[in-house]
Amino acid sequence: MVKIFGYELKRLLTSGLFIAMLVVNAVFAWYVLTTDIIEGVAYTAPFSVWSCCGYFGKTLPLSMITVLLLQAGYYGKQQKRVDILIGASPLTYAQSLLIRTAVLGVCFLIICLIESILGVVFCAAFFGYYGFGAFILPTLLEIIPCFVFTIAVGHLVGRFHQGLIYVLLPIIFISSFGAAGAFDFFGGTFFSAYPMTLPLNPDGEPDFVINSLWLTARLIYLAAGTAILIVNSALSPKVKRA
Amino acid sequence: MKIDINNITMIYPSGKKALRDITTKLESPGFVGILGPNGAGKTTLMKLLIAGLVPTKGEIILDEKPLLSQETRLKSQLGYLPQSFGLYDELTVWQFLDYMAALKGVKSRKAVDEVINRTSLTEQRKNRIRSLSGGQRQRVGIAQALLGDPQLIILDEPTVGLDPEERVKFRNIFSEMAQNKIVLLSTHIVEDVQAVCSRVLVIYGGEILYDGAPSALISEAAGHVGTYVSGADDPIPDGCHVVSKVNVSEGIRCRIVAEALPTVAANVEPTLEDAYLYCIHKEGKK
Repeated sequence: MVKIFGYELKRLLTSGLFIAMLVVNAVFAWYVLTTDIIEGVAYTAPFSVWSCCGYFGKTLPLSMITVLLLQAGYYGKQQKRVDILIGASPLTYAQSLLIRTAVLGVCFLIICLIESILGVVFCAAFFGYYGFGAFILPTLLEIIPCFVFTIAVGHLVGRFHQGLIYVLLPIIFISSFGAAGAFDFFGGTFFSAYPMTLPLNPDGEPDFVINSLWLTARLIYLAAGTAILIVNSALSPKVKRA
Repeated sequence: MKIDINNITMIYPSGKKALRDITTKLESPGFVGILGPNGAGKTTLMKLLIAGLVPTKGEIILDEKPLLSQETRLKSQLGYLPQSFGLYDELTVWQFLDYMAALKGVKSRKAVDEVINRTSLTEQRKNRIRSLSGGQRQRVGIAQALLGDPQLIILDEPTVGLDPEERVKFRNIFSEMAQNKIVLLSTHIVEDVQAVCSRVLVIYGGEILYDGAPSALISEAAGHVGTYVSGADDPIPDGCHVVSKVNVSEGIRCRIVAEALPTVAANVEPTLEDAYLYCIHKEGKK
């Protein structure tokens, strides 16, 4: 499994699509940092946890679009021709799905890591700020449910038709302008509006608190995504029903 | 290894009946050739044997247990070369075969080197697959099917795209492998079956028309194959099917198969190709 994962990962990481989209994501992230986050989210400092979550809320839609584009490759004609050989090996459909999800997960984490490095460079260079420890948990809570849910839906629709994954792209784009509620999928709108409702601390900023409703929403997205992945892996491959 | 195919019927969702009540047995060692025209059901039978399809009716038994209940066991002993397949163009030949070896649970790097040597890909081992010719890609396909010393080898048109010398070479490799395994070879090249197979299945319209030794099929066609010389515009006698036409100084020499040969035709010794066509046309008449 490890060797198969290694080869699958190598194929995606060295693909022109991944490299090009990584550059696009990095350029977009820097643009968000220097035009939007530099002013601070909801009147907080640009290096506050609110600003950090707001930053990922703005960059996540493009990151997820990138992951979906990579995922679509698994359901294309070329891959299906290779899948004829893979399907005759002892690797089960569930194992194959797990490997591909893990590969896409690594690609997603690399994109997020590059964006995080840009964020660190931004905070350090512009504001001399280095205390990033408090950012980790909220960031993970923000990005992981997004990834799991999107990838699970992508796998589910992709097995019926590759084109359905492309249909998800505009849906992702529209979702980035989501309502300010706790169920805001990417969090971009939520993190801009929610801090405004909180009392200010002596520094004149709202303290960062993980809103329980927002946390519940993240857990629901995570659980729903996991459930879709499990159900999908349990369904017999399409070819068997031909 | 022993495979029992019991009363298999396969109807696709489109309503196409690909196989009708097929029953046969495959046992190792054995080299079985499958002959049949396009759409006869050969590929469907192969897909059923690799558990790629679930039959509409009937069942396949692998060593006394239903095949579908031991899919992983089957696939760990399977070498499969489909008629049409894809490769990862961005990997080198060695990397792709190493990837396939990992899929099959073959841990030895030697196994990869061995199939590379066996399929004459040594010079191309570090080349990216996208740079290979059609014949070389076909050899990579054959190499992956031979990985891990599988007990059941299913080859669908394996020699397509290979030059005549390579065709003979691979034919002999398959024949060697059949000494202690089941090798199933589907092909349009009757000569390949005649050269190496100990048993032949003729499939037509989803049914098995013949199942037995090639020599017995040839014997069945004895007295039904003939040649005669005709003019360019002469009609083909009723009930005759032309196997081949060759231009000669007197006109066109036609080789025909027929239930009853016309008086103009001289009886000749049948080949497997004649016998196969005779078998198909006899059934077509019915």
